[in-house]
Amino acid sequence: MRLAPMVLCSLFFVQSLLATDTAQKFSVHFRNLPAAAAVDSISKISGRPIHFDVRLFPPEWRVTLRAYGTVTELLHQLLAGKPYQVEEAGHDIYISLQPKKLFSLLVLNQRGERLADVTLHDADSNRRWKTNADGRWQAWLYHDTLRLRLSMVNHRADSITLPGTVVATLEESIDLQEEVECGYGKTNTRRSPGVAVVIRPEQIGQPYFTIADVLRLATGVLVNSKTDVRWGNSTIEIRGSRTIQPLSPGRRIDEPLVLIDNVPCLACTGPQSQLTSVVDPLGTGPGLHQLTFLNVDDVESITVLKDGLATAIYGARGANGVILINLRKTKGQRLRINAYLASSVVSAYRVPQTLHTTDYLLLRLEAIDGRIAINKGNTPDLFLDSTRYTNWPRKLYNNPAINHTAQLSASGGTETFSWLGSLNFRKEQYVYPTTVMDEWARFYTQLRYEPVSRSFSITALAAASLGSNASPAADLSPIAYALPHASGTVKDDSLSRSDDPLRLLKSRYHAATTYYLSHVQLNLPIGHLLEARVNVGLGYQGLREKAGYFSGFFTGDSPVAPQLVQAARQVRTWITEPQLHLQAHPGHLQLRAVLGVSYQQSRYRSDLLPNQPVADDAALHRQLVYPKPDTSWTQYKLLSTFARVHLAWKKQWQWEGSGRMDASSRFYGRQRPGWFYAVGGAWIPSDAPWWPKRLSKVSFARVRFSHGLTGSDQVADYAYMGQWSPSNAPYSYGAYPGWQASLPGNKLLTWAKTRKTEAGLSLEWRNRLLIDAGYYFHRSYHQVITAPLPAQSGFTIINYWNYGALVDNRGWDLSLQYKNDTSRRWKVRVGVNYTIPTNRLTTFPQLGRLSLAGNLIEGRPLSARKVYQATGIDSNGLYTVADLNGDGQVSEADKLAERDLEIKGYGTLQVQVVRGPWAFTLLVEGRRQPGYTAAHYTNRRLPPGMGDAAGFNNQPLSVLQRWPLQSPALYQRASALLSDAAQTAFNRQQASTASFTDQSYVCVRNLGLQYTVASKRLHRAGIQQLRLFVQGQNLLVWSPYRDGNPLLQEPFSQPVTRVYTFGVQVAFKQ
Amino acid sequence: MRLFTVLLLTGLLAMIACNKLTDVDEPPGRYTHPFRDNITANQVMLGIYEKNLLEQGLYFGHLSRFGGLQGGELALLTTQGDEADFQYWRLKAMNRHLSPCWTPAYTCIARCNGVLAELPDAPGVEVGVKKYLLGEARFWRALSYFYLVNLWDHVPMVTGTDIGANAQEQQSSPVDVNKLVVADLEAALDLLPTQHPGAVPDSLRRTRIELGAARALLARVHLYLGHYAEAAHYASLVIESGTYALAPLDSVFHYQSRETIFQLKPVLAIMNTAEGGNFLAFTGVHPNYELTAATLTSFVPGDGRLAQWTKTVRVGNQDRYQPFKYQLMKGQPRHEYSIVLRLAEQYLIRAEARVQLGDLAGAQTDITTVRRRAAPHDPVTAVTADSLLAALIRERQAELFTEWGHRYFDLKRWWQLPAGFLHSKASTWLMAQPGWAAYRMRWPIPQQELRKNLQLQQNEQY
Repeated sequence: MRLAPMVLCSLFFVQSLLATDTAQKFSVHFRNLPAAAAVDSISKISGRPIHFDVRLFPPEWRVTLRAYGTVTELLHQLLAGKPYQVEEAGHDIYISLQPKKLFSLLVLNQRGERLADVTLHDADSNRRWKTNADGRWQAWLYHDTLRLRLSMVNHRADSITLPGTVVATLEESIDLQEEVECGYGKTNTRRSPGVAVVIRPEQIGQPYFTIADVLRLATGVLVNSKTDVRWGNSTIEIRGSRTIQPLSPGRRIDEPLVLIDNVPCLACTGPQSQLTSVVDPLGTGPGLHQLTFLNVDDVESITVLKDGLATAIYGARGANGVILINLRKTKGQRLRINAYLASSVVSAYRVPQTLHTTDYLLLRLEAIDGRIAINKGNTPDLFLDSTRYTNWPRKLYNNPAINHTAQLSASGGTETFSWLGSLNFRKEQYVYPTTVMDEWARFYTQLRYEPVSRSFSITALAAASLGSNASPAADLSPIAYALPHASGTVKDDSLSRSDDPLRLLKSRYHAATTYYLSHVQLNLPIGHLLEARVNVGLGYQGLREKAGYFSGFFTGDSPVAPQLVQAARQVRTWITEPQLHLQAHPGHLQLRAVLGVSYQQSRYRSDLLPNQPVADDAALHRQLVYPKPDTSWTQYKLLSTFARVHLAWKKQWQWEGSGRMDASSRFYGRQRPGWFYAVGGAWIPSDAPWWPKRLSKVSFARVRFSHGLTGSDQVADYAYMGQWSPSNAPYSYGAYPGWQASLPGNKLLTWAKTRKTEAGLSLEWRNRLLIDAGYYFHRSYHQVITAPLPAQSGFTIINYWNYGALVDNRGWDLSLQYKNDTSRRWKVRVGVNYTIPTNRLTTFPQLGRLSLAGNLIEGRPLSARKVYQATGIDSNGLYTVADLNGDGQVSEADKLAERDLEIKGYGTLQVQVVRGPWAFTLLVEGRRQPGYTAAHYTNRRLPPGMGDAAGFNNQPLSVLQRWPLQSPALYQRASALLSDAAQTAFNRQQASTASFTDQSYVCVRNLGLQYTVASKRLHRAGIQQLRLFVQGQNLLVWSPYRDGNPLLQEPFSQPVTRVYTFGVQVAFKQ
Repeated sequence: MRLFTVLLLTGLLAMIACNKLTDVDEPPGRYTHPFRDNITANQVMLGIYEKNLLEQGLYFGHLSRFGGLQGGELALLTTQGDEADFQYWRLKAMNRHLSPCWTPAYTCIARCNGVLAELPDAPGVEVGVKKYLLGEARFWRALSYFYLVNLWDHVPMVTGTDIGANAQEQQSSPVDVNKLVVADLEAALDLLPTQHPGAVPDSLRRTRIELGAARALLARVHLYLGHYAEAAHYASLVIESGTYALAPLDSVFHYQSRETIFQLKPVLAIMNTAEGGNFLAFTGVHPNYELTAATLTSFVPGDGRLAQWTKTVRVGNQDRYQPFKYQLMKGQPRHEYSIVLRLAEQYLIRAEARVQLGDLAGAQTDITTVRRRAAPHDPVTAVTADSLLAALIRERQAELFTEWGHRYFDLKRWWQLPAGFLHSKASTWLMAQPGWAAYRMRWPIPQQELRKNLQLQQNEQY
């Protein structure tokens, strides 16, 4: 009650203020009135004289205003943005011209270099400017003073007041260099509790050809290539394999999510070649494109997200890690043109070696051992001209190929609009004797508009690629194993046509890839704290393929008509992501929050026209037409709501939490939504005031921890729906066919999930040496596996069923970065990263009931198998294995030894040395891994000495190390008979410990040297920079595995290829 | 802040509407939902028929083969292998022929369960069409359970459409399964038409389930269950319906035979009936099976069936008798369908039921009706119950040999009867089999099923 009089008093006071003249409010409404008349009428309404010079008001200046306020308020609104000032002198009001003032500024970095494109923001009027190329800015303004906030990428933002400052220094910040766009908003990789590895191809300083090559540089990213053909198939795996069952052969669910400027790219889950089985039964050859549609030069940065915290924001799709590819953004207003030309020579290195004719014949005779009648029917290979010899591997692989790349890019703009465009052509070949060609035309453009008021910005980018690939439509590696005395051209009477090894060249595979991506982003700042952002992305990927087999390709005595196989597939995706970003700095606290929705729709279409006979070769040429993808389609939708809060207190404490709800169309009803979350924290004691002086050489220290849950919906679309198929044997002729329920749907199918826990420690020594060690533990559950069903359910199998198996991946990620003082003449950067992964199938209660039972061992890695213990070669020259269970006989029960193919460790070493115009780079990749022995692969192809009507093959040189020629021998005695006792011994050997060996390697992936010419004469000609470079790839491989190619695991499929590249780059600047 | 609210609301809405927004269109082809209209609903039913005929199994030859072997009608010309285990009564759970009998029955049941669950509520299908399709589904389910329960006794009874629950269903008692069979058939009586609109053309006569088929199967089921009055009642309904008539011996197994109550039309292009394909051999190639002496002695002297329905093949220097009811071995022309139910069996069902009910004269007439067609010179003269039963046993053997395992099922049910003439006859025969033991009267549950459903119990002593 005591308060009441006070409240009343203050109300009275307010009332009395309102009653005074100056505070009296009026309502006005002008439409298209000359400004002078408007001021007059305000004067009339208020009854206060307003003094101004009519000549100051241009007659054409007309105003429209509808407002309510005091006289001064009304005048300010009327004159907003005009160079007038309003002064009150008692009752009278004076309007006069504001004095115009020149403000100017020069911005430098700490080394005194001028900084262009620094953003200057005047918070009062919300206007923005940028410094010019010389680091200067100047403007005439109607202000007395100006407070500007200066900001620039990778620099510490600063505020200054003008006039008073002439030269501003903007410190280059190591901290901010790590600022990357990731997971809806910027993250500081150095301070964040999450793990994000950033690679900037520009910083590598060498031309890289594929994204997969670049990804090798990231810690904990495993790139496996099955072929050395550059555009060939490779798989990317982040932190181990977590799925028991591959989705389909050659395609694992472990593929990470790839986002190109936030648009999901379908490199991994996108149009896969449908002709792989036809074209390339081993899956080793060309024909599959993986991220090759993207030009590495258009990539600004690649961020790899691995842990729970960083990936949880991608919820559903984050379980296998996320790769964010950010395309180049426009810079500055000046016109810049960049041209680039490079050519490479590709040659085979470590070409497999095979037996000479005499050795081959000896092998065969030894194998036949008088037990097969030697005649033209049984052993035609013995009747060939034994004096003839062709080195088929050399013939197949020793055909140096030449690659060319040309690129032209330009950028420029005006104050409000900037643009960037690039055009890239590439043509690649392989070392085969026939034309193998991969050609790409890639186009990329980016446009950005931001009005002077900076009230919003809109960025649009579009990338398009057209690719064409031509290669033989068959695996050519059998040519390397053709009989050493086969002629290849002369038709031998004793050999049927099937033994002309070069017939495999009589096939053609063509693929046309179309790729298109566009992305529009609208940024709309709302006040100082909030920003609304809307992304809309569109993606299209099409793959049209055809394979033609000309006459002479097929074996057999009667001629077979040429055949044609065609397929087409396309994926269309669109995605929209409205988001709201909040940024606030109350006191020592820094708050960043995002709330958003993401909605994605994809549509897949495909078509496959199986083998059709074609009249003749000419018709085949004519008919190599691509079909339209039409006959079947599927649809995929994903809706997500996500939120993330990032809190930093006094910079030394960082906390982050995120949550996401995903609903995927691949699940049914209540199984559809999946909830994912992550929490994490980082402590940076080196930023604390108490950080001891004696530790001052430790310039940075961080401890981080994170825990999160992510999911995977990488099952087939419509897996919850039962499948029906029409019968091919109709019950009622003439009527419609019957429908068979062919596969059951699983309405209970739900997200496979991975719980990720990580902890790490980073230490930096005097800003130069940064050591980072991290331990991760990922546990995957709800495994989706094809399950057998009891017949009483009506089906015998269900394709997707969640099982309670646990797969654990844990390991260490270690990285070391060194760079010397930037002021030194020699600039050295060294980066080392190494990952030690372990993989384990921890439990699988239902394992005994599944057909996988024979392939998996609980408590061991997924690739572990039970095998025999090999005991060498006995006195009969046969492989022997141990009777491990001691029951007196060798049987399946003796498979008690265990072997796996798990990679034990992998990493890279990257060195960059720059001195003046010279730059040297080195990239070494290493891997510790077990693998199959060469003998195992040889035996798998064809056991030495064997040969039947199906084919006679040469053998690798290592077959000379056989019993009884050598002791200890690598191979058992040669045998030509399948029913021989040797066959049993050989089968056991294939599944024994002797099939495993060390396939570790160290490979010089890249060695380059470049020279930059910068001279005044060039400058005058408008050439800012001229760079010459030379580079070699796969120059050396060290490995204890001598008989094959450890880089590709399967040693006899292809040799390693060495690539030498020469190039020139020219940059023009206005 | 307005935008914030809008976004928040959008987010909330998105969460609520997530199922709506992530609903996908059903692509054409394999995912298309059935029961949209009369045609698709019919296609699903035709799929059930076809599925049973696409590979050898319960509904395509296996019962005639393995029932014949186990019932002593057939003998293998080899003594080894999984097939011989039937002949010598030494079946094991690992036998690879068990699954093809078990699996198709349950596949058929699951499809029928699907029809029974979804079709009644399908808006696009006409009431009349629904009616006969539901009747067919009930019949197929009853027939499948009938064979399952008579082969294995203890089988899981699956009636729902939840795959997960079905996969873990335990075995039910034979009494419950039989109740379901009778209930399904009785329900089918009200649903099925006397002539199926889908089987009107001559080439499709009796290839779809009609009212007569349900009655005929019901007569058999009741006979097996010892409900003689009902068995006689339903058999009479079939016999007196006037729709069916005994055909001359040479055309009984012709696809246009008037005797047929329900037949399955072969669908595989390379094959006619499974019986024809299995029992006949190419000229010059040894057949796999021969008819046993027991079967051959069941024919009275001069029995037309011996001449018309069997065939001798010379193997080495010995004549072997082969079943020759189905005379086409493979491919075209297609004028033999696999007959599931035919009128002669109904006479014999009624005869057996009448003997058990004391109507000896009626029984004699029925047996005579069947006998007269094959051996008009040798009418049935028996008058006492036991002698009539002896004549009936002989007649069933001579008439129904190598058809759907009749002999095996007869032996089993007679052996299960209380002591009496039929029981002693069956026991005597069974005891004479080398590997026979009481527990072997039911088949073992296939081993792989026990592995996949841990709830299943193997039949005792296997």
